[in-house]
Amino acid sequence: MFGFDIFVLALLVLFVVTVIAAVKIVPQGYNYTVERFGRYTRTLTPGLGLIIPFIDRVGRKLNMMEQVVNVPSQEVITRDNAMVRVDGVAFFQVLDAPRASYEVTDLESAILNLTMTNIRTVMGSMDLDKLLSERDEINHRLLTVVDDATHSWGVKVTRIEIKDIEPPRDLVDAMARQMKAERDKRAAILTAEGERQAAILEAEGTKQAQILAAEGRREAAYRDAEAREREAEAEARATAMVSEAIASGNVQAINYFVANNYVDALKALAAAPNQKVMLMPLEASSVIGSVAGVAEIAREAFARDSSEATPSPNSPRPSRGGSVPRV
Amino acid sequence: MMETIVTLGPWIWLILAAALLVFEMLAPGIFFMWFGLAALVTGVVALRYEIAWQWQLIWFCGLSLVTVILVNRYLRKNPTETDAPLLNQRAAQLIGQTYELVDPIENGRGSVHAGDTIWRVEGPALPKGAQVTVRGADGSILKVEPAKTDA
Repeated sequence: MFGFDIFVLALLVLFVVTVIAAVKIVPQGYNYTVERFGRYTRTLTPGLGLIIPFIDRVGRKLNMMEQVVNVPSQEVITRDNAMVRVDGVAFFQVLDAPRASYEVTDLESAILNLTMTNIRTVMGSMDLDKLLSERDEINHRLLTVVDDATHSWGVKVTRIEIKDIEPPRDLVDAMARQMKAERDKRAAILTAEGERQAAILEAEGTKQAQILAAEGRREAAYRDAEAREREAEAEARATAMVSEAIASGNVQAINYFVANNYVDALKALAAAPNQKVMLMPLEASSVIGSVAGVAEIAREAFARDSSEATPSPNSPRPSRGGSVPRV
Repeated sequence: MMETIVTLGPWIWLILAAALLVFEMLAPGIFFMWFGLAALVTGVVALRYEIAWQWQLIWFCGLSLVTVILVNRYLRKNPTETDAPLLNQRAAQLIGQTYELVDPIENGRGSVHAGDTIWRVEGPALPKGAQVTVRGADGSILKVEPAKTDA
């Protein structure tokens, strides 16, 4: 009975160990590969998994989440022989656990080395200027090449990003100087451009002002001429009317006007305040003659009036030289 | 010690079951649960029938194994419900989606832009810009077919 007791206790230990060995709890985000006598048989997915103790064992525990690899800084020589320091990051995810376990030794190191060598290849084929300005293209080319290579490992490289591109100190200085010179050049050009524009605008303004002034003068002259024409026309018409009046009336009427103006002119001469000496280039007799002419007109007019008053007061009065034409 | 165990009789199994289940809850790892369940059943059986302690132990060992197998079988038939069954299965998440080819499919290979990265695809020859629907995945290569247009 003693032997049986020991056997039972040994059995207890065996079963406890067996159960512990058989039950595998795979956490979310991981996959376990199962090897039977060292050979891969299947993959345990997240949750409760059972393996057959003694013949099965868990081979690799694969992280199925996206992971990041830091690509350390390395020196790259560009196509135009500039040496730059470059670092980056690569993101990858295991999609096929058995392949990632058994197709490659040390998956992370493999991806890292692949990325580093490809950074050299891709960036070495580009000029420095292109390198600095076209990171998107570099990232894209790297991703395509590395992803292609990692496919057989059951891994998907989702992203490769170049973090820093650092050209040597003296090159950075030269670039800064170049940029400054470029900006200085642009500033100088812009200033000159501004001055030129200002000069043009000023000249334009002067020209416009002169044109407008000339136009004003032209318009004024035109209107002056028109006024003179109008005046002459009026003069002519007045003269015509006067001569018509004279023609239909008595010639003595003209004498009346002349005498009138004559007397007015004399009056003006006499009234001039500083007139000390009065020169009389006229013969007083002429004036008197004119006055005589006026008297003759008056006489004639009065005689006519008396003769015409008798026949009919309604008969229209014939126009005579005695009437004063209005000029 | 031994005397206490002997005095307690079959109740020792129920006490052990409770203790193991408490352990399981305190330190989850699903190791003690099987033994706890086995101890529970052994205790109930030992209370009902008169069984020698050695046989009770054998019962306990066998039941531990049986519990594991039964639970595993049950879980296989009734998988644990999750509201994100495709978690960590990046390629499977793309199945059924339609994408535009960024590289034409030539000699059976092309590529599409999906999920912020470029996926290589396998399918019938199609020009760049054609719409394709993902039907399956082999590692990082998606199997595609021309997208059906409703027009």
